Amino acid sequence: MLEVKELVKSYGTGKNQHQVLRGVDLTIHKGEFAAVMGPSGSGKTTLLDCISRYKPFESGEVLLNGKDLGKLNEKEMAKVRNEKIGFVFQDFMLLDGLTVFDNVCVPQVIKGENYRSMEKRASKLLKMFDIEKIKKKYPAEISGGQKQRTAVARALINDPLMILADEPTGNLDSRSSEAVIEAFITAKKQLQATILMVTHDSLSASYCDRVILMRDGVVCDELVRTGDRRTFFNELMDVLRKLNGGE
Amino acid sequence: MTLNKMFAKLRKYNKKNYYQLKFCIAFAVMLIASFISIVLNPAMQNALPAGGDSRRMVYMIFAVAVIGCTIFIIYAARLFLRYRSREIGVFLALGAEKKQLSRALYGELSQMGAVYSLVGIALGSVLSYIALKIFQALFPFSIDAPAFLSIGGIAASVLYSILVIICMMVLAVRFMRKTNIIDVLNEQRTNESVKQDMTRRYVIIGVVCLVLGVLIAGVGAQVYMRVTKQSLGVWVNLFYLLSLFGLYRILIYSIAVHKRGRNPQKYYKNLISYGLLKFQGSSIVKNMLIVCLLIVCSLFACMYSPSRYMSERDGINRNPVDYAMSYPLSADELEKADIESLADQYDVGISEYHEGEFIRLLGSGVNRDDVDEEGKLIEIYEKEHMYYSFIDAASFNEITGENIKVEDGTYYMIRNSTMYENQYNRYDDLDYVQNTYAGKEKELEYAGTVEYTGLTTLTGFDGLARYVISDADYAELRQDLPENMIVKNILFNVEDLDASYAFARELYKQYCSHASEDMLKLTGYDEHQEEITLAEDGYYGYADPVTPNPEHSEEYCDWKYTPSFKILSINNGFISFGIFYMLFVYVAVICLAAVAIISYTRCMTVAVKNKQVFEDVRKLGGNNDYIKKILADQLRRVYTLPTILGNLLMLLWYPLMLWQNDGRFTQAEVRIVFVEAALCAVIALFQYVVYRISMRQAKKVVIADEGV
Repeated sequence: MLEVKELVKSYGTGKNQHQVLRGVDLTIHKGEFAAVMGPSGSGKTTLLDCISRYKPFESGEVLLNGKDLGKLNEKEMAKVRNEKIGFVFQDFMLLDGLTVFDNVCVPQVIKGENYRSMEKRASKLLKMFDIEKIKKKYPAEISGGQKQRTAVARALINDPLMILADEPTGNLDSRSSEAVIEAFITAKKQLQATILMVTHDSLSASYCDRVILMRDGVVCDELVRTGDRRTFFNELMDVLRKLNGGE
Repeated sequence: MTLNKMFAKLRKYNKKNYYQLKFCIAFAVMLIASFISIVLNPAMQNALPAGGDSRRMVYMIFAVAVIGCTIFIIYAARLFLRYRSREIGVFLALGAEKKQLSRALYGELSQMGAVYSLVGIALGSVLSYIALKIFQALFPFSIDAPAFLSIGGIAASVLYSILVIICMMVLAVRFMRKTNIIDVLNEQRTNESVKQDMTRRYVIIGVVCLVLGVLIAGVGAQVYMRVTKQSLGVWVNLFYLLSLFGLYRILIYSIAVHKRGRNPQKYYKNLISYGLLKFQGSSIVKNMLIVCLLIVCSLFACMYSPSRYMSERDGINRNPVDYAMSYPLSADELEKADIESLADQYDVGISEYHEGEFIRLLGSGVNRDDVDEEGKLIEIYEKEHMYYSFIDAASFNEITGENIKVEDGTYYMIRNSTMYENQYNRYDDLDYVQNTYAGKEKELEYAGTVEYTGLTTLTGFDGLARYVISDADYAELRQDLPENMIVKNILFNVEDLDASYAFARELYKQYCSHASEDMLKLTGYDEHQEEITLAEDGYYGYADPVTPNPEHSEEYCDWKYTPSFKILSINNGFISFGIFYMLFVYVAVICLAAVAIISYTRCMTVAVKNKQVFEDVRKLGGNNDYIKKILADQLRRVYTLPTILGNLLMLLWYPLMLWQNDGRFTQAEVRIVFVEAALCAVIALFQYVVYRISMRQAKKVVIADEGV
């Protein structure tokens, strides 16, 4: 589904260049719910920005269903962002002037879809993520968890190949976080969505099928869930302790 | 729903942001259009004398006001793009094509620019008409009925509108060229922090640059010119850029540098404010700089006209003679009996009546009309330079009550209280005269000057120069002079000057009516120069006849024989000053309006951008009073320093300008400095009022539940 090969990205200019991604390799399989974890500055968010080409990268390949995103022109990349990738931001990035329903519809509107199918699909997603009752409300009138579930619904409306989520629970309390993770799990189960989520939250990550660990701009380890969530959470905590120099 | 409908919905939701930009476009174009329409209206064009320093100054300050208005439109457009950045970023992130978004944005901006420029032009035209009507009501003799529309004004305003639209489009294109979507998304939240590691040296260099720039451009150039008689040229004004650089450093230091220092309590008390200021420092400083310059310009606009008027009025008041007129003996002009009869009619009591004669002789002089390739003044001595006027010492003493003794072969130059020597005009240029009619020549030696304003006219130099020679020399040189080369001077005072206005108008009317053809010459007319030009088959423009308007002495006609009636000079001077002053005040109002809008918009940006910080402060236990204090600290910065610096700069610079004109301070100039200080206080008050309004609005943004 998604293959990232030898991805390199630096910030700064001239002598002050700092390499944030130093040759990242990873693969995400279809229908997988994967998390990327690591200390601050390890390059997690930059990785997501480069995959979606929100930010340019120097070298490496990003293959989505075999298509090299790095070689697409601006118009082609816009189409990929609209139809093949759904992005969920930490601070929701909902349009304040649109209702919840309208916000969910935005990608379909951009795509130029027929309104009947658009409304039908939006309603289905609103129902799926339990935000149907607030569909006429504006972002300023709803809670953080509701905002993020709206953003997840928006990310899914064009039935993308993959959802990229950057710290989706970062601005939420534990109850709202749980609701958002539930939304991802629902998307995975009911829509067979493939999700790559960057997170700091071990509990959220423990719901994933696999956790990729990054440090200093490279993938340093990964953990695959084999048992129940609680066991996976404990395993994850052990690995994170080691990663952060705990042992 | 289509994308366009979605855009429309967002536009409706964000209407406040649109209103702000629309208001700024319409307001700026209105200010500019109204001024252009006033100046280019035929009624005003007829009222303003051609050329002259005042007209040039009005245009110069207006140019600064145009820059100020353009900057505040650019600023409003940038703010608008910032507001829009999040929406555009989200659309891009969700896969919308940049081309499609760009098209929508460019269309929106150009449409807004065009529509609200038209609104501005329409309002400006109405405003200019109202202003001209007020001008006309105040000065009915000087300003004709204004045309409702000035075609030239509208055309120039349309050009300005095009400039405004181009500026906005350039900003939009630059904005849409950003390739990094994350940057677009975060545009609204980008901080504009200033350089953190500034030392005291940084600000000291700033102060030095500021002072040096003013001294070199404002004073140094004039001093250099006086010493070397060489002009440094217009480029010397570039040194003002040094001042600008210095000012920028001072402002940036005031924002960026806050140390724990000797008063840690104060430092910690203001810690949050300091931090907030630093992170928006760059744009705040640019704002402050523009505001500071606009304050300087508005003060200059308010000061220039009154200082000229007060200087002129001072000169008029120093003249001991209430009424003075002169004409060649060949003219059939008013005699003593005519004047007395007219005075009786108007119930005016005449006192200290004197008559005297000046003879016109060809004399030597120094031609200083050109500069060489290096800008150095070329001085060429000419034995036969131009005609001057000479009076005998006995007549001079009789008229003035002085008792000067003039040796044969010497002369005194008659000067007035406002005359001074400079690189172009010297008292001692003359050393030879001749009576071309009798063929008599004489070497003359400079003996000094005598001051008597009543016997001088206008600048008092060149063809208007008047000298006192000995009685014997006078008698010798007067021989065989035709009547047109002998000029009779009549001088008298009246018992009640203010009550003699009607008499003065009638006297002027009769004097003009009696003027002979010989008299109707321009001030610059000289018989010798005419001879030379005609001998070379050239055209001598100064010989073209002037046509003074007997009914309107206030009409400027550059007449060599313009009589000097003190009461008319006072009243006419006031009218001329009044018309110009209204224009200057209008420009000052434009500058101050720009100051208010720029400052207010900046304050609202501070409130909106820091809203989250204020929320965080509240979460940390800050109550409304504390938040208000932080907000007030921020907003005060926008107003206080630019106002203080702008006022201080003018209080230092303007007196220097007054001093460098003639190297001294007259009493009138001292009074001008006091007026300037009063104006500074008015501007400070104005800024305080705008600050209070800004604070009230900003509080509504930051403290939504205040009063609940």
